[in-house]
Amino acid sequence: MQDIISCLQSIATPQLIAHVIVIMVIANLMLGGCAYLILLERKVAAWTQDRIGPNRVNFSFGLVSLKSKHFGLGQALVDGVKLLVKEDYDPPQVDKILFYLAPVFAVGTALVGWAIIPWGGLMQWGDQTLVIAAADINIGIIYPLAIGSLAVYGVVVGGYASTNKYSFLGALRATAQMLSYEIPMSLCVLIIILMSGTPRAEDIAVLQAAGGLHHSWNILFQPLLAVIFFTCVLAECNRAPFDLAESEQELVGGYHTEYSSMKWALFFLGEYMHMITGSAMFALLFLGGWDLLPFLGALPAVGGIGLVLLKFAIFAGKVFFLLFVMMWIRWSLPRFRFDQLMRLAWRSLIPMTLILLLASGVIVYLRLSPWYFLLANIAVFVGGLFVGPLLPQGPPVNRRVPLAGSRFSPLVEVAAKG
Amino acid sequence: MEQLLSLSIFLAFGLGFVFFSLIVGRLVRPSLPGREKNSVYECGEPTIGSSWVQFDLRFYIVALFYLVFDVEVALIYPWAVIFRDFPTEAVILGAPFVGLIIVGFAYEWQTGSLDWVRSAVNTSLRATRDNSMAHLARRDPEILQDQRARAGADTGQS
Repeated sequence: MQDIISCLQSIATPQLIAHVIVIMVIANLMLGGCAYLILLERKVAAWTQDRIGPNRVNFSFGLVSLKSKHFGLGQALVDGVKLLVKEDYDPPQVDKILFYLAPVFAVGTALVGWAIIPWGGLMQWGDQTLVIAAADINIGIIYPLAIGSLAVYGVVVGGYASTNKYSFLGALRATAQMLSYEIPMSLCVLIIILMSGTPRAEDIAVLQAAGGLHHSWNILFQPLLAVIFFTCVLAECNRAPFDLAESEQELVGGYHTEYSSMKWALFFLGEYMHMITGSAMFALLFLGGWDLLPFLGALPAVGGIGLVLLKFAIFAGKVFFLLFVMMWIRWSLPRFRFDQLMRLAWRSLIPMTLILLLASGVIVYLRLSPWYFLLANIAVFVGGLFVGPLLPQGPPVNRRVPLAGSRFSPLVEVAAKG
Repeated sequence: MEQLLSLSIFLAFGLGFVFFSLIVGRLVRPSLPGREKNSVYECGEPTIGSSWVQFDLRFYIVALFYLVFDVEVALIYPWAVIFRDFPTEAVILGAPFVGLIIVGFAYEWQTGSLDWVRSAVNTSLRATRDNSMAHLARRDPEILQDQRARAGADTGQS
């Protein structure tokens, strides 16, 4: 008995308990938050299109009569219940095991992806410093990239197992898109590691929050890199304007055409969780994590429970703002064409990040002030504007392709003359 | 140890949630399969052929490029971490890697592997930049012969 207690005590260190508390709180917060993000998305869509949006469902659920409509906040819960009790049929042609496994992949990877995000910074507990994150892994911000790559399997497996041509084509497109945008994304993370000198998430946040002229938010040093990273996050989430995987006009629903009920909801949940993880990564890498304002160094790195809660509120506020920007973009911009999507990744984002990697390497090697990063970013942007048109272009895609011998391309007369 | 333990608790929580949500609905939801409901959802049209068709090779090439790039980038991560502490050694050791990425990327660009639309010129939709027969004939002399033969057949008939 004594052995068991001492064994438990050695396992259940304060750090582990902190991890478990963070997991339980934030995972539940995210699951609930996703339902309300969908409601917010509909509201944002409505505001963009000058409509009112869902505003009828209150919290009465037909059981009691309430006068107030609560701004339609009951909608999210009702939708959840609807998805749970809807018929969930498996089409007979599908590959059963893979068909069930795909949503598990999609939501499982999205759920564990945010493990390293330091929501609350460091906390003083007795003589120990606890990391308020779901897990304090030493590979740090490389971990969400690795998990994010696994998310491709959910899409591929789902599209393949559905035995539906729309699903299959949607899965192919989604794969090519996610793979292409993974490269500039990982290069962005590489540059941030290069300039910070550490892959640990908490250290990157502390560096940005240190205050002074040489330690500030990375978005001020690397604005171009931040824009590239945000674009990649949008593409990785399959969000508009990069939602080619499920473009309704061409592919019905894309890779989740054959899915219904809870399995479909899991795909949807995975997408929203990816949005949250991507926003949290952006906030961590470029917006200083839990830092209040750049240059000030207003918050100390280590503190008590009150400071942790304050940091969490700031972090969540930044994530919420980024999520709102994503929705704003979705309802404002039209969808890309597939060749434009690939050209954007391979011909502008990747070369720009590669050159930025070289420039950042030189700046770090010479130990120059971080403001040279800003100079390099501006130089790459302006240089891209001038050099871009001079590079090999490939065949033009927007011209009319005449069918030889058709009435728009009369070849017979020319041939007769020649 | 602590890291792995908290991660596995996290993973267990995630998988538990997923399977719980998949199983709990099974008890309350109806199941009424029908012939039409069970058919492949292709807009009401009867399905033609299998959906496991051969896909466009370009997707495969993108996946290959991704593999090359991402493995290279993954190899560079530790290099980036120690760059500040050992700058000279890092430059000597890292330059071949970064150089390989950039040279390889320039080569891909130059050979046109990065073009998504690249086959429009040589498919049955034969396109020409100035829409002239001479340009077309430079690409494919047989077309000119075909056209002449067809023109000859036309005049012979008339």
